[in-house]
Amino acid sequence: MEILNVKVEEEIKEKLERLVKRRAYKNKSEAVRKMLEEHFNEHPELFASDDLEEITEEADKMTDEQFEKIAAEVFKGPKTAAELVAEGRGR
Amino acid sequence: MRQFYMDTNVFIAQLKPDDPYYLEAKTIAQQIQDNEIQAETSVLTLVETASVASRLYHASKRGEKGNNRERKAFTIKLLRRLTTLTTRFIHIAGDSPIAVRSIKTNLPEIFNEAIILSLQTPLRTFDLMHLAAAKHAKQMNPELAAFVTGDGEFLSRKQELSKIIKIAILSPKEYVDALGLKQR
Repeated sequence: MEILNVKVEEEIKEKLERLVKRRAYKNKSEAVRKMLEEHFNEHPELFASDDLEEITEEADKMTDEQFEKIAAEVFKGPKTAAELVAEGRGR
Repeated sequence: MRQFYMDTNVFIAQLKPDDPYYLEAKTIAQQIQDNEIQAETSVLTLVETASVASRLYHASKRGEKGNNRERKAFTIKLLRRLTTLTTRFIHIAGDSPIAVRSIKTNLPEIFNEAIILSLQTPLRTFDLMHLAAAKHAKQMNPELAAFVTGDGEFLSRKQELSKIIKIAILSPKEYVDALGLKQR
């Protein structure tokens, strides 16, 4: 695990101490760690743009041949393109 | 006739070799790339394309492997292909007063058109939006001569709908034939 030095307001520090006292967490370090983990899990959108950047790079690397092969595989099936699109139009 | 409104299904069909309009859609895409014809469409087509790609990839054998990164990269590449084929995307933006008197609200012009169309003929929301976008595109660009679609609902009612939106509704085959394009 990495060590992080974080400055917080007195009020936050007191609240953390109250939670530790109540045994909600073993110590302040665990409290902050768990809260950060929960926040990141609940808000994946915070990192969506990073992800998008990496995925865009992957799309750049995909050749036209690879792309058309995937498209043919993905769209293959008894339904026509019009029927596939119409499904999204609520038909 | 060389400028047309491209429905989402025409764009998808050129990437689906087992589609009944595959050859015609491929010919149309090639002609666009060669600058022989020009396509316009709605920004809705971008969303529909992303939706079809994401849904279909997820349900495909590739999707079963849970390759989320490839699914996302494929969707982005598909959207990029669409933007290279389309000269103009009809926007939904705007803030104009509703065309129906006594209803006090402002809304984007395309929504206005869609509401007017709904009073003329019964259609689902997305169908109304596409037809409204095509009608709006025609008003902005008189050279736009056809709404090209593989959609059975539109094609079965093309005479009625063409009159309403003031633009010919053609299947990809009819469009290719009308222009005398040689299939690739």
